[in-house]
Amino acid sequence: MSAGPVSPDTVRGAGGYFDGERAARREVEVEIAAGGVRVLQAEPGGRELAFWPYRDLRPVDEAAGDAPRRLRTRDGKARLVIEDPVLLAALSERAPRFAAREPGWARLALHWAGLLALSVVVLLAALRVGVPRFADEVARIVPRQWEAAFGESLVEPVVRTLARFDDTDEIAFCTAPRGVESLDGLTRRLAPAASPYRFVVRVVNLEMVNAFALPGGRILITEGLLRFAESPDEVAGVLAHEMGHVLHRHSTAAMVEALGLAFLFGAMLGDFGASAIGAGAETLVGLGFRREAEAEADERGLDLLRRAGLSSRGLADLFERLERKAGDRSRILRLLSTHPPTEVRRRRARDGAVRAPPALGEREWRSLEAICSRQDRLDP
Amino acid sequence: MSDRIDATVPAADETRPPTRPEADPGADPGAGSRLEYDGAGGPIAKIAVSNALRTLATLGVYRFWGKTRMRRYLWNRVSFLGDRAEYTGAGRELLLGFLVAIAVLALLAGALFGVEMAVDVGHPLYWAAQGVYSLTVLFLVFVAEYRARRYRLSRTEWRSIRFVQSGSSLRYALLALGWTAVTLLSLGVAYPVYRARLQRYRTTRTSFGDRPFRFEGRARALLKTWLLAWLFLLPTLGLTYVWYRTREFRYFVGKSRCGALSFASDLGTGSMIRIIVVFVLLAGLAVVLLLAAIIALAAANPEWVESMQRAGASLPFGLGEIDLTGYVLGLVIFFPTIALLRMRFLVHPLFRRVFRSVTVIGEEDFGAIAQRAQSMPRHGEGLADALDVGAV
Repeated sequence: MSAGPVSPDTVRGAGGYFDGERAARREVEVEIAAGGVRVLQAEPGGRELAFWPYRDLRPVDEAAGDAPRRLRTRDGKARLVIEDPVLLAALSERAPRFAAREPGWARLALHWAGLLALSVVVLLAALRVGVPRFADEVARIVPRQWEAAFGESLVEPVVRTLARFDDTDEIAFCTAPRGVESLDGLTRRLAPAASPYRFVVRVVNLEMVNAFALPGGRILITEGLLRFAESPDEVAGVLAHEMGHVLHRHSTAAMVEALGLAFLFGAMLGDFGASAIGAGAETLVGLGFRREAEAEADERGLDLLRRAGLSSRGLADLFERLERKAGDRSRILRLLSTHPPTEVRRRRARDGAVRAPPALGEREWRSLEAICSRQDRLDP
Repeated sequence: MSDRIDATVPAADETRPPTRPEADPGADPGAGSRLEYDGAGGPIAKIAVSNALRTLATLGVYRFWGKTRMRRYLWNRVSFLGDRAEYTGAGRELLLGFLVAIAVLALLAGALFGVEMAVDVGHPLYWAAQGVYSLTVLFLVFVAEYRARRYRLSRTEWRSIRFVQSGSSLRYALLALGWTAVTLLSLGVAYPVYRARLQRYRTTRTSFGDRPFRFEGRARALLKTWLLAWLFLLPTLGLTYVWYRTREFRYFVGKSRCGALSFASDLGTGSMIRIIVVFVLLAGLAVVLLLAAIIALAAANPEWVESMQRAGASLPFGLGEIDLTGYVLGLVIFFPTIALLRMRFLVHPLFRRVFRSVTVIGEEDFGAIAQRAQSMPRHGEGLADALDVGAV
């Protein structure tokens, strides 16, 4: 079959040729020449069918470092099959990039370890910096009416999600009229005069100690928080902090971030397991605001308290008692922590405190504490 | 278990071309020739892991090129009469298709969002918009399925001749939507009719070069098989569905024609079920190992658990905290593992079983089959990709 060298520069042998016009295989003579590969009709003195210069030559099967048996040109429809080892060796010599390359396992492992490390860095950068920045920018241009409508539609899902952490089946909003009156009074007092949002604060009958700011002015406080608070100033401090979140559009940014993450993971993982893994990330990230956001909300909250003529001492006390409740953190955790150390936040609240009468009178405070004596149940 | 699968696979480095039948003038004698598939587990595993890692490192952008690379390996290992098939798609075509699809879906989602913002929850318009949206997405799933098949066929060649799919993806989607409704209304009994109608639409609009395929199948022949499978679907955890689909595959292949050629398949249900069970066990094992690793780490670092619990909405204003490093580490280990298991122990064995089961019968003058001069889709599959339709 293989005719061997014709001249020192050329090697000839048999091959198969497909012309891109018909589905027939043509047995041809292949010549590995100086400037390229020549395809000739198989009969003696056969006509030249094609000449492919090496620079236009492409392997058809390049995956996994396969030895090339099929060749094509850059844009051509025709294909050439070479099975003759003598021809293949000559081709590898002329065009070294066609030599079969199979990286060893050691090199492959090194390569993969590098990729793995790179992936970790890129992903952390994207999740910690890229997506939040993007979300902040987007949140800034969302119209405020949208925020309000969006926040409104989030109240129920958020309450239901929280209830899962609380082992409660009977979720309810606390609606004792006198309590609501006290709370609304405090809200009005704290809200900045030229607020672009209408603040609506509601109490939910959950045992956890927490408060949530939703886009557009909705704020949720838990019954647990009211019980934990020892003075109206502490509640005022929490309210001011949450209002800070709303005014800085942190919740809106968090929602955009969740959507962005879902998209990112969808794009990345494609058709397998995207939703499951993506949902995990959303939940993780969606649980808390970032360090910068907390600092901003603190600052704005202290400002609101000052303007309303209220003391921020309550907020400082609450920080301290919450910290004690949570127990000491390990040093490692503090290093990895995404939030500013609580002492710093507490000190800021204490330092800025002014002497002021309590945020609520004795009677109003008692009615606020009793706000859950009447409850509006949420249908399960 | 994996050894058994390996037993019939040529070694990874053995790159001998498929054996060519000795007597092979332009016209191939037609006593029946089997399709071949000689892909090997090793290279597939390498491509899968490398694709997964590059995809993570590029935040998903590499995915389209990775998919193309994997397909090129799989397609090019399928051969008939000693000549290999070829995948000629390109990563940038998939990326472009994806961007177009995202634009379409974003418009759709934007319209729905607009309506939801404009009317209150519970308003009839709100529910109407939801319904229209869901129906449109289902419709688009079928459109995507058909368009993806068109793209893949147009990028599949054998002996330098392309496959072609004509027909309209919108009409296909309407047909599919209609028969889905009938299937639902019949509580699933009409499923083979749905399958056969769509198979007919697809097959009769497919051609190899200028040689069209025909389809002579009837749903009636599958009805008894389906009813049996349907009755025992739940008690067998869905395994009768695999049995049905295997028999359906054999029937559909046997009822397809192309020019003078007819086809037959001897695909066995047992091998299909074995592949699926092995994959599910391995993937399950991977999940269990991951969970075990998490539990072991958590036991060694109780403060992590505590921080998670606190983040679990038990403390207000940011005192609960979350650390993403662990999550990212888990992802970069788990994602390549699952990708590897899926390609090596599901897609690869399925390719082998399915292609090797097919015999082509009859005499055909392949020299008479010409390339079809028709415009090809320029970008591909975006909608199918974005909507999660189809694998590989």
